[in-house]
Amino acid sequence: MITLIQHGDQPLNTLEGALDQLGFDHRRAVAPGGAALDGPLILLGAGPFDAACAALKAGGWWWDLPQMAAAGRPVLGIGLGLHLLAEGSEESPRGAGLGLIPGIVRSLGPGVKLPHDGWSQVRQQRAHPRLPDPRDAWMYFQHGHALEPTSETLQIAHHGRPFSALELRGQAVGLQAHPEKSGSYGLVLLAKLLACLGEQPRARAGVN
Amino acid sequence: MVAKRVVPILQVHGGRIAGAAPVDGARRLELEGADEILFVEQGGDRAGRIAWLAEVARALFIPFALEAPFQDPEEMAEALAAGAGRVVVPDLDAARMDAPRFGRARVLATLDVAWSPAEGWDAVLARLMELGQLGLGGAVLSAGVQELDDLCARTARLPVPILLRCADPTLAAEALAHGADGIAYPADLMTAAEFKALLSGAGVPLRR
Repeated sequence: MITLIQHGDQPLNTLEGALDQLGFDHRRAVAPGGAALDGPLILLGAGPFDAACAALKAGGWWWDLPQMAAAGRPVLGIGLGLHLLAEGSEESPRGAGLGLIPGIVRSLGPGVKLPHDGWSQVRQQRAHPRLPDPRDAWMYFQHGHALEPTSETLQIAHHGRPFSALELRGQAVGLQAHPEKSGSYGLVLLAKLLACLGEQPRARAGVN
Repeated sequence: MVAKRVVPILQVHGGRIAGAAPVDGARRLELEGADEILFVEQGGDRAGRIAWLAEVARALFIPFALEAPFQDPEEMAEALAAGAGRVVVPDLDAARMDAPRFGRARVLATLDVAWSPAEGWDAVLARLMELGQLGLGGAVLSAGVQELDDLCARTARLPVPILLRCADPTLAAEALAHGADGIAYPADLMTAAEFKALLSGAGVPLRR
C-alpha cells in the first residue's frame, strides 16, 4: 500500500487520480503513525521550501522519514519533494533537507525565464535496467530550483543549464517533473518507478 | 527547451461549461493534445468550485489553472489545495495579496496591456517587471492586435513566462515567435489539435 504524505495543503487529488488509474492502492497520512505498514512513501511538493519543511516538522515526518528510509522503506519525492529529499536548497540557505539524496538544490538560470513552467524534454544520462529510456519524452515541470546532475543522475532536462530530472539512490527516488501531470508518459513512468520500489498494481493498468 | 504552450480556455458558469461538467470538457481537451487548461469562472459558489476542481484534478493528467474573482487569499489556497496548479488573479494588487505564501509559479496575474502614445512601452514594461519582483509565476496578457508584435518582442526579455490571450492562430504564431511562452484561446474556437497543427505549420516548437 502506497502512503501519500499529507503535509500542509499540498494538492494530492491528481496524484491520487493517477494511482487509481494505474490500479495502485494508496492512503493519505498526515503523520507517520497514519502510514501504511509497508510500501512506498510518496512526498509530493509544491510551493515554498521553507513552508514544506515546517509542515513536515509539524506532522512529525521530518524526524521519522529518514529513520523509515534507513530501515529500508522506499521513498519517492516529486517536484519540491525531490528538493526536500536532497541535502539542502538555495531557496532556504539556512535550512537543511532530509539528506536522502546527495546534493544541494540550486536556482535555475540566469538568462532564462523563471519559474521553469511548462513541458520540457527529458533524456537518459545513465541507464537503469528497470526504467525506460525516455527518448526525449515531454514532461511537465513547475519549479525555479533544481538539483545539479552528477554522474549518478539517471535522467536530465535543461532550462538555462542541465538539471537532474530523475535520481535513484538506493530506495530513495527523486523526480523533478510531475508525472501525474505529464499525460500518458507520466503515468507510465510513475508505474515503472513504483515497480522499482517494489509496489505492484492490484489490477492491470489502464495506460499503455 | 520549453515547448510553447497551447492552452484552451473553458468558461465556467455556476459550476458548468456549456451545460456539461467541467471534467468532461477538460478530459476531451487533454485527449486533443492541449498542454494545459485555463478555467475562467464566473458565478458559482465557493463549495461548488472546490467540488468541481477536485473532480477535474482526479481525472485530468495535464496541468490546469483557475482564473476566478477570488475574494481573499483563503479562496486561492482552497483552489490550489483542490488541485489547481495555479491561480490567476485579476491584477497586480490582488497578486500582491499573498503570492509568496503560495510559492513562485502558483500565482499568475492577468493584465490588459494597452500601449498609449503618452506612456509608451516603458510604463507597460515597468508594470510587467513588477511580476518577477513580486515573486509571481507569470502573467496572462490581453492586448490589441496592433500591439502584439511590440508587446511580445519586449516580453521576451521579461523574467517570467507570459501567456497571451489570442484567438487567431496566425497572430499567435507571430507572438510565440516574438517571445510569448504560450497562447490561451477560447476552447470552442477549434480543437487543441487543430490549433497546434496551425502553429506547427508556422514553425512553432510544440510538445508532440
